[in-house]
Amino acid sequence: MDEEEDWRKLVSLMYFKSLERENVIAGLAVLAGAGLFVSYGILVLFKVMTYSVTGALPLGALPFTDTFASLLWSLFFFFAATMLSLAGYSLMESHYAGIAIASITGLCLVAISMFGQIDMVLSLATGALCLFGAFVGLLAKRKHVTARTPGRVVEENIVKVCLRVAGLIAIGSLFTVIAVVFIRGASYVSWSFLTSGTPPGQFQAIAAILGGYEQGVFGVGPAIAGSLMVCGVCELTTIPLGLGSAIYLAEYAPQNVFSKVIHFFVELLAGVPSIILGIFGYTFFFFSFHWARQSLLGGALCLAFMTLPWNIRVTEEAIKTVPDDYKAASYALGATKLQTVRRIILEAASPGILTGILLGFGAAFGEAAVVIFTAGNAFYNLPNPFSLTGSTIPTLPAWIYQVFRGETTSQLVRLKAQDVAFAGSFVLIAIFLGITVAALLVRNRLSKRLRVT
Amino acid sequence: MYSIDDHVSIETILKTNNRLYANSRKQGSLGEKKALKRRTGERIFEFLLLLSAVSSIAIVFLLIGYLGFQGYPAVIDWLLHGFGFLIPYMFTTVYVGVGAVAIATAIGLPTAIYLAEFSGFRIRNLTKPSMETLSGIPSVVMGVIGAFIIAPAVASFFGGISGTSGLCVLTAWIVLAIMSLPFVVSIAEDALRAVPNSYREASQGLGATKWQTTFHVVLPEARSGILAAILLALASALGETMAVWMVIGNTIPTISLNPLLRADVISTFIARYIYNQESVGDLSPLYGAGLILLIMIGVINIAVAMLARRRLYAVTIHG
Repeated sequence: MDEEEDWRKLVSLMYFKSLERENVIAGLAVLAGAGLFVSYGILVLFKVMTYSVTGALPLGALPFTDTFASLLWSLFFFFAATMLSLAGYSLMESHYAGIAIASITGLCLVAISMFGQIDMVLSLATGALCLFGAFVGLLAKRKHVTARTPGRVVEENIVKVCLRVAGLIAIGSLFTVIAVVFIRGASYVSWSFLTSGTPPGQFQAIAAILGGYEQGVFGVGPAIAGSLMVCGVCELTTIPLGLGSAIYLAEYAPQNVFSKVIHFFVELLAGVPSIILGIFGYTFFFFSFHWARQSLLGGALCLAFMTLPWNIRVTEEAIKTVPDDYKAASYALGATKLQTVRRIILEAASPGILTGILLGFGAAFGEAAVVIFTAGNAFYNLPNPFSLTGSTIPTLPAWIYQVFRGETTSQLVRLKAQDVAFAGSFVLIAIFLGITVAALLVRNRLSKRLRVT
Repeated sequence: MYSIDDHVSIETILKTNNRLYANSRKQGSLGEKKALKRRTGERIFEFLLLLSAVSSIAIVFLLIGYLGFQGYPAVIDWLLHGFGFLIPYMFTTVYVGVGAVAIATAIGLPTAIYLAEFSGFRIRNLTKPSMETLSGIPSVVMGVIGAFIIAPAVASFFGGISGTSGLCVLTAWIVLAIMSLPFVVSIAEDALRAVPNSYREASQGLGATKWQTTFHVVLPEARSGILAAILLALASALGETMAVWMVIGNTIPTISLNPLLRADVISTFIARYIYNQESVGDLSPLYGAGLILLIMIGVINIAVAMLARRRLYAVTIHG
């Protein structure tokens, strides 16, 4: 066995010569160890750079500025260590050993980063330790290798792991966003938070008077009601227009330049950024119809401009999936086109249409930039349903933005304001997710019922 | 009239129906008034549908026309005397958008490839709906997370070098990348999946591995679709307001490639000035800037439309 082949075997083993799970995990662990080492290296580099610029050596190798960052780092260490020690699992072929190593390494690293700043030497040592662990694991497994692995299989496996890591990062980041909002927001949410309103005045003033952001002072009740009203009125505009456009495009429009032009404009409208709709609604209704600058109807119309193209697209898609047999059968019974559209096509496409409407409602509910400028940001009084064009109404996204702007310089108050903002986000995202999941459920259930065999 | 085995197009049946109606009207079996009423009903209905279909065009023209009407003094001024203060804003807008989409593509494209080519049925069934669900995370929530979670992290990483408070272009990149990630993944995956399976079979039949097939056969074939996904993500990143407004630091920008500086983009410039009521007297620079933003995004959308047509063409060529 010559040198080159030996090396190749090592590499193939490193990057999972077969697709067995243990090997994949071992490889991930090795990658994690290398990644940890590289990130340590970068941090040390930063330290050196800071030294060369400022002339003073900062304490610790990691440029921590607050406890939060150190916590973040310790969490990162923990995950990295867990991954590494899962290598132990695969190498020693024992769950318990791997888990034990994971816990001990992880806890040690957490303790180090909690109780002090990691020194440069220590950080280098940790990185080296990681690599050493991986290497030892590798050697331990090495004797099991018997067959030579072709280079392209190695390549394939490397690629597969890279793709998988990218996928994990993508999905992980999205779920982390949701998890962070739920964890940070849940502590402030209570029944009174959901139902009560916020007293008038600036947040800073309230915080000063009431001694901080105590529980029960702020509430999103009116904001939820206002948001639901705006979105409801928006849907009242969108549904007829969207349904009509989609039916026309799918069933009536001649397949020529005309329908292409309509499609193009629908796409163009879908691309209009929300701020454009915001500044449009901010003055258009005021100058043209002498409505209030911010009103229920104005906000709803601008939101409708935003959701309309989406609605058209989803509905048209749903109508186009109705099988031609249905139409043929209907016509064969002597039905006219209008009768067929009303009784057959709309009926069969109803799950898709309903899904589109619900998704549009969810998108409108979460939209902030349009609503702040056109529907308003009064965040204390109850919305007045009888004043369609006269008065500013509270909405949930605008409420969250108000809290965000209300943060003060005092550290304690700022942290409390963050809690309130996260609580508002919690409510917003919970309603948004509820609507979206309901839409997907509707689609699945109804389409199962109506499935053509 | 037709036997059950005949292949009859729907149009033929409809024509026959219309002829039957005409006949029945002549013979008086349906009742002349009723038939007339039905036909007028159909006409009116079709006209209403046409009206609602045209409404999208009307709205687009209304928006562009109103922005032009409000913003033309500023735009003419810019055209005559140079764009001046707006150029740094345009630069930052493109810089922020392109950077964010680059990050999103670097993570999202491999994810899409994995989901379309390498993953199993179960993973895909779990991932696709959750991606769809998460693609609409409200931007104000992303702003809260960006300002309260990501910005402190950025500050603790880079504060030692530049003294940044965390509200900077880099944070905006990260926030925008997370927001456009599901978008890139889902459209790119659709584009990859649209490549016919026979291509893959042919390639693998020649002995190529799965990755070789993906890299040399599937990816080139799906190129225009992937480009469309990236461009669409770029268009939506350029126009994103809320999240960027909350994390970018809101300072008059300079033309600089340093991502640790506070800055502003066109959309946040508009939002900030309207929100703070700083320019109640003359709104036309805001509308002019909005018009320019709309033109930038419109150009990207037209490019996507052209790409989509080419893809359609390619599909028809290959059958």
